[in-house]
Amino acid sequence: MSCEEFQTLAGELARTGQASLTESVPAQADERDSALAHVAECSSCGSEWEAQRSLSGGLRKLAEEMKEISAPVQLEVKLLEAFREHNRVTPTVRAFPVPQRQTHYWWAAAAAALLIVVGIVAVRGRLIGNPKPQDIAKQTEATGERSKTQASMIEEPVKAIDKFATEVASPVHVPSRKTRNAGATIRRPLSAAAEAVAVAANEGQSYEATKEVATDFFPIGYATAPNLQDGGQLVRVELPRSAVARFGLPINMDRTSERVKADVLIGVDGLAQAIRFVH
Amino acid sequence: MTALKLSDNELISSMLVGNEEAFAMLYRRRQGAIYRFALQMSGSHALSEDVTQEVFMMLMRDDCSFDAERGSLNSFLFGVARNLVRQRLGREQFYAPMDEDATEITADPTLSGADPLQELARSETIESVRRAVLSLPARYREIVVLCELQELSYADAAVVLDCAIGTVRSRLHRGRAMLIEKLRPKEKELAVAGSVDQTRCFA
Repeated sequence: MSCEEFQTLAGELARTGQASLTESVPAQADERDSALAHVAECSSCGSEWEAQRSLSGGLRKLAEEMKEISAPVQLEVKLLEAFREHNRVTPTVRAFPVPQRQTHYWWAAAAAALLIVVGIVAVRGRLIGNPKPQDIAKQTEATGERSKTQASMIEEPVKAIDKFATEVASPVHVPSRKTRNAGATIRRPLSAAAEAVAVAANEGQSYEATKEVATDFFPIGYATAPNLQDGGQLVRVELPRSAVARFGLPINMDRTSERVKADVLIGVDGLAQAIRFVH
Repeated sequence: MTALKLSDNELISSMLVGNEEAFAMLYRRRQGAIYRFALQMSGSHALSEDVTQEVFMMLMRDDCSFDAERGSLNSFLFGVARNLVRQRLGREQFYAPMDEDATEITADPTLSGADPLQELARSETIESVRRAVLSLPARYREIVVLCELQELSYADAAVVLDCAIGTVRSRLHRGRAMLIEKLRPKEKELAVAGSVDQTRCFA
């Protein structure tokens, strides 16, 4: 064995006791024998071997000396207390984490579903609640309070209003959501207008009132083009003639003091959507 | 009695479901080694106590990353303790230790029944070795403490230090060589002192 090989093995051999080497692994026992043979021949390696053995002995003594040292007793008490505290708090967090969240989700889902159903019912109810002109006519007949003449007078305005509604629908480009029934796109404004006319007829007003000329609908404010299918009401109002100019229409300056009639389309949200001027 | 027979992994499983007895058993089984490791690494009882506490606090937390498939609980605890000790030593390297914090781990020679001179020599040897170990750079100190004082195998030490077994072997070799160098002047001084006394006796 060379000095270099011995230097590599010296620490390892000094760490492990002689008995364990010779008894356990024959290969290591051979190494040890050759190392000891080298030590007998080489004085420098001999002193290195002694230093390694002395170090191993010192380390072993230190390890033995410290073997009985352990953490203070109060540390165990503190840790056990902390353990108890930890387990006192944690189960409340661990016990129902998922069910609680699921319950919240279910409540939210149920509330959302309920709102949707209520919304649908409300919209349907509004749609059904607005009578068709034919229904109004029948109702008028049924009451018997009006003469047949009056009934025929009502039928004719209904036809006129149908024409009106076509006029209303075309300039503002009502989007046809219900494509399967083109008539449905004009039913809503028709019903509103027809109702107004029927009321007028009931009040004995002249049939000539329906022979009006109206402008296109002008959107009011920043509202988009009025969608008549969304429902709403037509309200007849009187405005100063100067209001016509605000929508870019020409006016006769000599008659600015006079008032003009206008139909204001009130949306389902109660806000004015559009206006048209009637002559 | 039954808890004594349970393995570390069984105790851990039991502890995680809130068994206090399992935690106490695990603590009593492992605290000594962890405390001694911290003490041998730092030389401070206060730091060792803190580190031991933090190691076991970490063990009881839910985010404890112990995985039985990656290594033994002992290796895992040593690894955690090693990181904590290094953090603390890095933080406190600018502070000078107070006298009361200095460790005196040698036994009182007058208390034992053996020859007081032999005991004194033994105590001096132990103290010099202890000081030599503490003066090693951390990377060599930890390997000497783990393999020589805690008697871990190379494989276990490699798990603790998260390095290859070859690295453990080479670092230990280097650490021992440094220790021999540190202890050598002491031996020379003692030899010189011994010769002076002899001369006086003859005179």
